[in-house]
Amino acid sequence: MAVGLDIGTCFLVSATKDIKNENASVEIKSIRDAFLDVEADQSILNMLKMSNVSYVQEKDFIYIVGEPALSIANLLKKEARRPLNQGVISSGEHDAEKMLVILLKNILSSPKVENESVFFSVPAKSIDKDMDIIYHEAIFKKIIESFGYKATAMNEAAAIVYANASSEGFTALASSFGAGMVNTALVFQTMVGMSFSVSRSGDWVDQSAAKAVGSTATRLMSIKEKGVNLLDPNEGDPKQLREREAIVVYYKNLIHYVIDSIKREFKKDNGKIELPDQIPWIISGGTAKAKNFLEFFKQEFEKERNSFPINISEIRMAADPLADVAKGLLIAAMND
Amino acid sequence: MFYVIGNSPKKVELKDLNDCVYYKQQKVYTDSQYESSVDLKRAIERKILIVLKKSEDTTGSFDINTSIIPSETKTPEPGSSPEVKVLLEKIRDLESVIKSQSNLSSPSSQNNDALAVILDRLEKLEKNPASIDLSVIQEALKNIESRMQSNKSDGLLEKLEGIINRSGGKSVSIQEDNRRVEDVYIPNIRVEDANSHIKLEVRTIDSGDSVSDSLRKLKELKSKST
Repeated sequence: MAVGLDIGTCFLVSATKDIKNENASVEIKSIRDAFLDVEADQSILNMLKMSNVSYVQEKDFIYIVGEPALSIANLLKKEARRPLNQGVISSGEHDAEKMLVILLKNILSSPKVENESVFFSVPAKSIDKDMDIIYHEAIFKKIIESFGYKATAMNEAAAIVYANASSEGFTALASSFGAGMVNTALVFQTMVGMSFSVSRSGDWVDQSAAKAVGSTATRLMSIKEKGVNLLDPNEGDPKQLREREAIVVYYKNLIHYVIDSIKREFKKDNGKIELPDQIPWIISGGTAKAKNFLEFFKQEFEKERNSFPINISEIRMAADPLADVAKGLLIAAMND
Repeated sequence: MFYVIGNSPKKVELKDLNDCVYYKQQKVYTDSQYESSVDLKRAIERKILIVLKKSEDTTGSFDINTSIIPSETKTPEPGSSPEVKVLLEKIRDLESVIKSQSNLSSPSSQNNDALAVILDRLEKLEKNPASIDLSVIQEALKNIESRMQSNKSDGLLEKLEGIINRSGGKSVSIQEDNRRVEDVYIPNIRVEDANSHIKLEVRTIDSGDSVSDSLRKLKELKSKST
């Protein structure tokens, strides 16, 4: 077996395939990367068992995990907790570490043979926030290897190119709009020429919009995920129009922030990267799943095309925005 | 040696030296730094950095002259300081941003209160600049910030935070990390999860999918390159 594991702020996604059987299907497993701690109480435990909600009981606490953590947090007007913050785990976050061990153990299961290959995603170096990417990579390597796998880290955005740009000879610009950050990589025939991350993405949209309308980020995320038409925020419940308008404003801001960052970073590497005449720009990630995101993105990009340093042939959405990082990692693991 | 002084209200970034120079800040660069830095040369050419003094490089340690060096830049007006000027400039920038936003039909248009505070503060500054000290301006900016908490947008809070940070001489810098993964200490994580119930979303993709196709093309590419 080979496994691709996408460790995201919002979701943990694995893609698994039997390498010895070419006709074997690919299994995609995912879970929302969130938890909510409540005091252990038998009545709560019974309720969780009856409603088939994922939970972990440890000593005096029950940790509700995955999607229900968000809905119950919303109900209790609390913020669900995330093991990762803006794409990385920080040292000393003991609850988060424990939760990740449990979630990863469930998502990876046990290896069929010793030292099975797992390629896991890591973000690129952030250009706007001091983040300990090395610690992040080290802790996941240790956790995965503790299950009996051989763990290899790979750039998240490069994985999108592996899964989506085979017809272009694995040459493309890719941006993964995750929850905690946007990862961008310029890949030429599988080689990463430029890569970086910015600390704004879906969570930043939620938090900024929540501040603007005086609400919570969890509520704004819930409205966002129910569906906001970026080209027409009027679409939907009139009571939530302000929230949707705020979300659209910050999506626009985010897109321009990413475009400007690419311009700046490419300029730094100018002359070192040789590219074909035109390359595609592949967009992926949960934040890119908003209604009409691609059209909205193209519309905003056209305003900047003349000053954009890379000749873009087309902007297209990854075939499976939530699972393509895991699939790209799986391809790399199978080729290992 | 190049003794330079910042001559722009905005900080001058010298990316290839991993450094920046604030307005009226004096810095010394060696001849080799000057030779190697395109950004420094360009900043001097554009006169956003002014060369106050040029001298021969010396070996060993040297003292940076921190006293006021006569320069081509204007002498500060009585009662004002470079920091105050930078802050004033930024307040005016914010004022224009808020004014432009007030014309848009977005949630960020509701900043009239904040605008009134800024204008009021500006009037006071203009009437009696000598009486202003930095802490007063910082306090004003904090007030504006708290007023904007409920209905501001488009990065204004970040800009305010940046102003306050800069006025105190602090700056956010991304450190180059040269550690290897093997060098990082990771404690053992002990988990007691006997009573757990985790439900995963599971789906399968057929064998004739893009994964197999991509893998085949990847192997072809690798075999060509070897």
